[in-house]
Amino acid sequence: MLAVNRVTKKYGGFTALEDISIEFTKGVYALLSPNGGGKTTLIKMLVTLLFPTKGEILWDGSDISSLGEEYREIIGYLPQDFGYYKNQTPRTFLNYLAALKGIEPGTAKKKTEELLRLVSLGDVADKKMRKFSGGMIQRVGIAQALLNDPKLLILDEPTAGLDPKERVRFRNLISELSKDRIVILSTHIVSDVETIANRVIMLKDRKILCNDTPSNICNTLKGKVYETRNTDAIPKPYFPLTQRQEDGYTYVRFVCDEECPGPAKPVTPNLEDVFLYVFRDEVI
Amino acid sequence: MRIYRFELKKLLSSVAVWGFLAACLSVNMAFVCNSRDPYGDFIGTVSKQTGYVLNNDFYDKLSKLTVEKAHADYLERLKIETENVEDVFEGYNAKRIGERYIEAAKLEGIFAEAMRHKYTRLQKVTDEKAKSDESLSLYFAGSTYYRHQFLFNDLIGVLLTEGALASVLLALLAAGYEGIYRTENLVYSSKKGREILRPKLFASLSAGVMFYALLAFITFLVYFGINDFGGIGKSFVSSVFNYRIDLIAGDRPFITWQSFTVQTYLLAVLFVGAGIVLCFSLMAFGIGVFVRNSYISFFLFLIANAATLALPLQMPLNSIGYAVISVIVLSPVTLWLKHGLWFTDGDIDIVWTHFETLGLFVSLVVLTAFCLLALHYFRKRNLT
Repeated sequence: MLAVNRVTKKYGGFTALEDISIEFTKGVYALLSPNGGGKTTLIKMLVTLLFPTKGEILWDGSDISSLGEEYREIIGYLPQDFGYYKNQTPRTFLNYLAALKGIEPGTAKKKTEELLRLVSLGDVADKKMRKFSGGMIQRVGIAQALLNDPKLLILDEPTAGLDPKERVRFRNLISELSKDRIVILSTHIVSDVETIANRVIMLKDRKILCNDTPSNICNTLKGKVYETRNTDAIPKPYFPLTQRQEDGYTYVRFVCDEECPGPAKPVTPNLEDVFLYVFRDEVI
Repeated sequence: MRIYRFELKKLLSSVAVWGFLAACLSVNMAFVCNSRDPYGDFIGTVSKQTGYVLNNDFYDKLSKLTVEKAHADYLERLKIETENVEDVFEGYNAKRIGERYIEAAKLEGIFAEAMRHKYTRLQKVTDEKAKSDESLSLYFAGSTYYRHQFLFNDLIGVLLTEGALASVLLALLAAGYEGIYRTENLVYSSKKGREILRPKLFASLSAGVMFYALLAFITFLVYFGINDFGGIGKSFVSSVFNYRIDLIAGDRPFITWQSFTVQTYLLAVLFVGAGIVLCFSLMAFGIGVFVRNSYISFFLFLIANAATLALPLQMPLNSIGYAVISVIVLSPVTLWLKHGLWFTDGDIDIVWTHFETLGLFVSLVVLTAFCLLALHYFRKRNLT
């Protein structure tokens, strides 16, 4: 089990995270917050790239910074917008990272082949990565995160750059992997979270706003989300969420804190509604 | 070892490194091609028949030597230059050099004593050299100063500068590689984590020395191909024909603490040169780890070395000033600057015997400690 105990992270006078406590057991945890909300800071502390200013992070009861290699050995990490060696092939790059992860050469070779096939890069395994698209690089990143069969898989914006088909494949893969390990993912793409996350952790104003199942989080707006094509007829103050086009009309989805009589139809709230409503001051 | 190999490969696959090697070789080739010395070549060829020791056998063989007409003038010149040559160390007063330095630097107390002690020891060395007739060695007769200065001052100086710059480039590349390619998050969160800096350090040290060795090998291959050393390799560098210009003590013989032949002196100088390359590499790597920006690190490296060179010039002529100078003289940049004096008594700034060996040892110890400190600091550093 991974436990974040009362962790605060400060950069000089700026507080990025304050008094965060979370416990992670098997399953998929999604971190949600707008840009600059502290997701990446929290993730970087979980992978020992940053150290808490206050508090501690424990793996099975031991501090992760004192565990060192023993802890990092069980991590698979896909950073957001990560770099790569342009002159190397994905095979060489994965072999190098396998060496850094302490995987024996024979095992590394086998695992590299297997993962390159899994992320559909088998055909370009010996091509230099300089000519790869963003989606291909993202798949290399996903493959490297899985090299050591990690007990703790941490993915920062994992579906960025993937096409819809790849995203669905990846979501299925995450679901499969989460059966016997902890998967923590941070994303802006709320639809990814809704389908695969067991729990959603929302960060707001440097603190945890909620840590619950997607359905419980959606229920916080139950009876408050409506849809209409005639916003002029809404009698109460409302907060617009999204718009969609249908039959030549623009349908507006909105939140109304009180019961909203008139032409608007109540709809079932989804995670995106909650996200937009909760972060309404911060959404650009 | 596996990670070390990966790191070494990463460094050696850099186009900039090979480009720099090509540029250095071009400079060296142009430099070496301008080193033609026909008279020196003639002596090299002649020495194969006469030997290099100025004894009766040498003079006998030289007198019987016949050469083609084009070289008759050279033969005549060689006979004149080697005629009635006397052992330069016979009755030589080495202590006088020390006294001149003490007077010029206004040394007092322990520094004056240290300087006297050094030249008392050098006196014993010159007495030994006199007994063994070490100076009665042909070297390159009248061409000796030019040949010696070109090889051990100019060419070694160029090689050292290039080797040092390359090692700095490689060290900064190794320390900043993951920053340049934005792979820090991947690499430093792996099992090996920040400990990877150790194999990176070893890879950059070995790449720096390999660069220097390759550069030296190719440069000397061409140099010795162009300049015939013939049988001169075993001639002593403290030859009667070799001298050094000293503005304070006056022109004087080239006195080494040990008996060095041209071959052994070249090997010793190249060996110390490799040590200096390692020192610069350690210094650059440590700065690179602290600063995490290759360009700023290089700038700081230059500033640190320039300050080391400039500091002695600002020192007052008193005990404190001389204490600072005596320490700074052991720094890699000062050793680099004084490479032409390695294995000799040095100059007015040097109170130490074997200053190059002592300086190299001190520099390696201090800079290794600096690197270990940088690695320790990096272990707990926030990688934002």
